[in-house]
Parts: sequence; C-alpha cells; structure tokens
Amino acid sequence: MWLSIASFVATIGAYLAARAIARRARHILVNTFTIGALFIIIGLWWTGVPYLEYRAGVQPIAFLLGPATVALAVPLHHNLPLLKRNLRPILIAGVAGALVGAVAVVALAMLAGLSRVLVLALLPKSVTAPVAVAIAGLIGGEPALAAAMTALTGVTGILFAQPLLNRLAVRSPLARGLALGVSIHGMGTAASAQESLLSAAVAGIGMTVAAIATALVAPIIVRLL
Amino acid sequence: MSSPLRILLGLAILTGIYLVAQWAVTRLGIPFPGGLAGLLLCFVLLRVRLLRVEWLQGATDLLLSNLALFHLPFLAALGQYWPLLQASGLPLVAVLIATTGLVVLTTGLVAERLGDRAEEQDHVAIHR
Repeated sequence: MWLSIASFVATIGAYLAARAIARRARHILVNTFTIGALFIIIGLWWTGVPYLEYRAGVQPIAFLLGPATVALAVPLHHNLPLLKRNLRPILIAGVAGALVGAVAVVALAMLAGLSRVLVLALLPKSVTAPVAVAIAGLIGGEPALAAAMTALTGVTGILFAQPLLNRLAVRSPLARGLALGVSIHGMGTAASAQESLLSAAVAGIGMTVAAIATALVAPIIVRLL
Repeated sequence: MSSPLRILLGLAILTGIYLVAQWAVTRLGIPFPGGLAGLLLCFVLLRVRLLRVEWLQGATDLLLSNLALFHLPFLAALGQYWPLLQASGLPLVAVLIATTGLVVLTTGLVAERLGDRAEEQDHVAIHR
C-alpha cells in the first residue's frame, strides 16, 4: 500500500521536475519523456523496488493513456473541414507512408538480426505513443519497449525529417505536415507548428490516420512473420 | 477557460467512451486498440452532436498537454531491457533512422504529387 502511494507520488514528482528541466534546457533531446524516464529508472535502481511492484502503484496514471487517445477526436473534429478538402492526398499519402513504414521496419529489423521482442516493439514506432503501446500489447509485444521506440523515433527523426523534406523539394505545407505527422507523430506535430498553422493541423490529422492504418495492418503483418 | 467541474465532466465522458470501446473490441474479439476505437466513436458522437465539443475541450487540453506523464509507467520498464538495448544498439538505431526516413519520403512525395488545394489563408483552426 505505502509502496503504491510512494510510486504514484514519486512519478508525479519526477514528471513535474522533468518538465521544469525540459523547459529550461530548450534542447530537443532534453524533454519530459527522456528526463522523466531517467529519473524513475534511476529511482527504481537506487531503491531496489522491482518494476512490477512499482507498476501496480502507477496503474491509474498509465490508464489515462486510453482517455488521452480518445481525446484526439477533438482536434480531428476541429480540423474536419481541412480533412474534407484534402481527403484524397491525406488518406492516400498517410496510409501509404504508414504501410511502407510498418512493413519496412519489420523487414529491416529481421534482416539486421534483431530479436523478435524488438521487431514487435519497432512495428508501431511511427505511431503516437499511447496507440503504439496498445498495438504492442495486441500483437504480443512489450508495451514498454514500444513506448521507448516511439520516443526514440521522435527524438532521432526530428533531427533529419525537415532537412530531408527540403532535399526532396517537398514544399507544400500540406505534404510537409503530413509527412512529419505520419513519420514522427507528436514530435512532427510540434515541429510543423513552427512551419505553419496548416502544417501543424495536417500533422495532427496524419498522426491519427497513421495510428489507425498501423493498428489495422499490424496483426496481419505479425501473422505473416 | 474551463472550470474544474467541466474538466471533470470531460474526463468522465472520455473515460466512459474509452471503457465502452475497450469493452466492445474485447467482447467482439477485434484486434484493435480500445483507445482508437474510442477516438472514432467520440468523433462520430461529436459529428452527430450527441456530444458538444465544449464539454470535452478542457479535459482534452489537460490530457494532451501531459501525455509524457502517462508514458512514464511504461518507460520506467526500460531499466529491465537495458542489456537487450545495449546488445543491439547500433543496428537498432540504424533500422530506426532508415525506416523513419523512408516514411518521411513516401508520405511527403505522395502528398506533394497529389497536390494540395489547401491554402495558407484557409481558415484553419489549430487545436491540440
């Protein structure tokens, strides 16, 4: 009981501290995800508390990922006119990107000889983390590893996604926002917001399209493995 | 501004939708995340005006601006996987970067090709 309460309070504390540090640091790699996780991993190691006992205490926090995913319907609702006007490019390019990504990451990961648990965690890596965690659970993967892979995808992708789009001469705000949202989820939405309002809105839509497409195709890919 | 009461109401609605959707996909044996099913259900309820967006806005802002917090319980398990990650560090990062680049390329080029009729001056509401 006391351990559960301590785990809960410590997690909130680690989050608030990480957020304060991330705001000061102004560096993409020093963000609330990386610093918060670091605090808790060090805390568990230092106190010797087993992960599963810690996990029981923070179940209410983890549960909120579900309602948070449902809440993505609200921005989608607001941006429906934009989606309707550009339905064809958004759906075709979004689904194409998500499918290519899911198939390619599984194929390359197996070629590179990565273990099955990593292959399954990598499959939803371009999907927004709350959904990636759920997809990993459904396909028999490790939600924790999947969460880490999405975070890693975001922090590495942000370093080269926009330069790559420049190199490819992708200039329209729609295509840029979509590519960023589909490939690096929330990180792409944040990056698009600095380009234009339109890009950011499309990135948010793209993130949701990619999540749905990947969730649909993931069980099929896994059956073929 | 959303009052605390309205935020609580929004949280209750979003949680209720999530639980119903999760129950439905489990019951029907559909391998689809309950949260995503809930997203689609919530979207439909907003469209048919059974739900008003004002009821959900405060709770949505709260949830989406604190996403990192809800991930910490999962990311905390990474300590256990450290040996695995260390053993496959370089190939793992190489695969990750190469395929992310491929997604950027595919999506960006296809979308650019199909053209966009969206204009900067379009009325675009930006919400989280």
